Amino acid sequence: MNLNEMTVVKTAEAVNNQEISARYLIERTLEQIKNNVKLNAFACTAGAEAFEQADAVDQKIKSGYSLPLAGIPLAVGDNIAYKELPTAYGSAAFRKFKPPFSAAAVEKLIGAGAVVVGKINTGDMGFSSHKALSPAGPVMNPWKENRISESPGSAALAARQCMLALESDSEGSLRQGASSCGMYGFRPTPGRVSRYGLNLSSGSYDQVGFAASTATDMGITFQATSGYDERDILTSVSREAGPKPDPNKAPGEITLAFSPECFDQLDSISAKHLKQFQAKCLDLGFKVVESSLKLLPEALKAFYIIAYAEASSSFARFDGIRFGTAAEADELEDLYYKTRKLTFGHEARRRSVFGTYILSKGNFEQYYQQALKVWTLVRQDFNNAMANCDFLVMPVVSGAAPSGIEENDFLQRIESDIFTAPVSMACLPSLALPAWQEDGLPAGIQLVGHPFSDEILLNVAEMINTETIFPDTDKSAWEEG
Amino acid sequence: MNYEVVIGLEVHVELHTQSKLFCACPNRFVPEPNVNTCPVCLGFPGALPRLNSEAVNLALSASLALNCKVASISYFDRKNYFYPDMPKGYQISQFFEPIGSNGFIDIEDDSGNPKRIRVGRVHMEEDAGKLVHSLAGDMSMVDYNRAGVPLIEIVTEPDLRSSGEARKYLEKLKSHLEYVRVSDCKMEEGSLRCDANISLRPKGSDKLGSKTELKNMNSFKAVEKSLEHEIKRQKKILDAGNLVVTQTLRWDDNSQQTVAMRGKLQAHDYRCFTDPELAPIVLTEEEIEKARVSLPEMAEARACRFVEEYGLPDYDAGVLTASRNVADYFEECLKVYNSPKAAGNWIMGELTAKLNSSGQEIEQCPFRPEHLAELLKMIDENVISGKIAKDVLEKSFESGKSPGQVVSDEGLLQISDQSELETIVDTILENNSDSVENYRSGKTKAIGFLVGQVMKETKGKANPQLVNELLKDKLKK
Repeated sequence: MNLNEMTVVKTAEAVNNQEISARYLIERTLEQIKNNVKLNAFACTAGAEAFEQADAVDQKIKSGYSLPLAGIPLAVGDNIAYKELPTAYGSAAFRKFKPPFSAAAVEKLIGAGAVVVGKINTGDMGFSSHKALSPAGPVMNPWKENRISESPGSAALAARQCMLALESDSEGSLRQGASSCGMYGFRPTPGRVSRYGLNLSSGSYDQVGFAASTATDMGITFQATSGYDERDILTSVSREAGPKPDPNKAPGEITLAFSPECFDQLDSISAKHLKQFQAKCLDLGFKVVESSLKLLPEALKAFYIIAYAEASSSFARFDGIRFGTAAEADELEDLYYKTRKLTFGHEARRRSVFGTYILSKGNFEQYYQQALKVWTLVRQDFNNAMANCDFLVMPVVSGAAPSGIEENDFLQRIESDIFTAPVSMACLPSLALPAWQEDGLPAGIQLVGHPFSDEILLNVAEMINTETIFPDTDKSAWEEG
Repeated sequence: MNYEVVIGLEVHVELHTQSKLFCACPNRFVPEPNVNTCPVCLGFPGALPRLNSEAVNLALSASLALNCKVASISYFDRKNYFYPDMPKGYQISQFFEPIGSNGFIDIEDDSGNPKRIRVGRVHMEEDAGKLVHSLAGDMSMVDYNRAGVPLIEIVTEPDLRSSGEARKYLEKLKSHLEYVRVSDCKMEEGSLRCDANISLRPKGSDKLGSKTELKNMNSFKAVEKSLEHEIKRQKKILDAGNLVVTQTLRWDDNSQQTVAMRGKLQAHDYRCFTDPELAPIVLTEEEIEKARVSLPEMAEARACRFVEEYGLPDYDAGVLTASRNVADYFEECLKVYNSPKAAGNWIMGELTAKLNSSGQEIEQCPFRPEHLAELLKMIDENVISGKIAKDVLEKSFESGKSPGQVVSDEGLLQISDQSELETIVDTILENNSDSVENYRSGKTKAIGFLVGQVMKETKGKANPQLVNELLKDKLKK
């Protein structure tokens, strides 16, 4: 059986029908990870604990159960707690740290039959490897030499080192990485999936999200993980399920909006592709309109001011006293300095320093409070833009997957978030889906929905039905099967 | 020079909840360190706070009891500073928008005139852990049992003008908070903590002088004493033409003086901002009204009612209503046996003494209101004498037996049988002919001695009234 291009749906079905075993899937997956270690997608891989889980799944199926994610190899972001494996937050001080609990989403995915094959390599304190150097180095893009992936889960997925990835999305790294790896990356409406267990840098913007290779897979994953969790108050909005998609709805009853300001922010090649994608939507029968997004540049600045401010405070807990590695020190202040130096890389330090500055006396009003005002305006701007449409279609990034990291160009890297960070700010669900290829590299678009329209959004993505293409690799553990 | 004293108090009160403010850990003292902890109150990455609604209800009741305006929407903010007892590196507090504001407490000033002390704000926050230093001084350890325990901070305007007023304010505050069952307010145990800001200014000036902050007072008495001490200290400095240095001072109970706290002098910049991980507290008009309506009758109103309804003297009514539990005890007793004056006297006298010596609280002591009622009834019905009743109370208090049980177990029934007493009286008269002589020669006080002898003979069980009558009658002959 060639599992090379199997989806979650088909694979789980095969496991549920006992055509293949979960154990077999995990064996193949771990081998595939070994086949392409230079991708650097994994911080650590599971061993015995994964096989134990897989055997438990097989056992359950033998005793008559059917699981929606039976045997699906799952990769989990290294800033998301999983008690069976070290959770390092991309930090040297946490290399061996096993948290005392697992994240809510991890529990739910395991409950649905998924098997954790490893922790994926987040950058410093969970920031994307595009933003932050991980002590382990950047995660590479399986499509092209010397290109990186902003989302390690999407890289692992495209390289078939997992079939599903759980990771975080704040300024948009998940959607960006999915886009540059030709995969689907989903940031649900805040509160639809519990973020208990995600190390929050920014409580305002950080969410858990998923990388998968089809919209249908994403739908199953979302269904398995969404819902109320008493440990995350944000999920109290999920006490009632979201509106269900109408299966009889034709594309002609759905309005997609494109924003002229987005075209203005794109390089000419990406703009050309987005125009073609717009034409494709018309061909598919969708209603297509224009909607103006006036505040993208302002939103981006306000986003970072707030994210930096929150990070400086959220990271204060990393003092070496309760968890992580503490540095040797003679006195308290020294302990703080040395431990934090050991714990944080460049990006976390940058956010701590800038965030502290932003919140300090004299700066608070002109930066932080001003940014909060902009935030309100940004939400209004999106509200207005969405008033006459069901979904916004936006670019994910301008251009293709970025090349490696140069430490000093952080402002430029921030600018690449101009399409994704404002969507996070507006608290809207957003799915990156593959849309075109240019020069051997894939790129995606974002489908942005109204709050709580997650299920409908994933359904419409199925209707758009772009084909998922995987990069060629020299060797695949899957083909041998 | 004549100075005016200006004092403002910041009081932290532990809310008496089942669990901590943002997690399910029990809010209870345990001696073993770090037992009542979880990923949330230890600040683990990935653990999220979730607000305890019981704490909000108590903070709401406290705000209303202190006559505050309650905010229909208030927020939790992060107050950022590093210290090992603060697990997250910030304290979750209410900085920008407290739950209660613009309240007041009415007290009497030093001359007994009514005075209103403004309460600027009541806000909710979480407590920190506790640092424990090894005896050798080479190690510091942290106990996070207390981290995340819900507190309210109650801040007065600088309206207090003497140490006496400060003490009266604290007593009133304690009474108010006890009445609404928000906290047990035990300063000695740390469930109520008080910091004081104090400055002096020339009488008539409306400009505030430079202030000092006093900390580490562990009783109301210590607050009063430390303020007195600080008033004297500041007066001396000002009289010498010097300026008071703004600083934080620690009250040292052993040496009975204030000591400058060691540590940094620089002002902290707490970089407060609203916590993005917590939703605002939203209270509707109906919820606030419902809480207002369900507030208990407070001490002052209850005292007035006690005077009117039970005919108690003002003083007794004041003492009996200062604590809600005492007032409840009193009224519970009356429900069983309606003798207000006697009940009040026994509560204020014997029972309070017994509670103090045994260190028990009235609501937990084994001598229940119905026991007191039974005791009072037995006295009134001459089953036992008042003197014996004291013993009965003591024994009942210690054993938890009802007074009736104690009386029958110990054979303490009052002897009111005339013939039985006559025999005893006759014997006493026979054996004390001197006193009989004295009485008959006009020294009528001698009868007291004779009564005493009868009581001694009967181990106090004789009905004293009857003994008196019998003696007088026989001595006349």
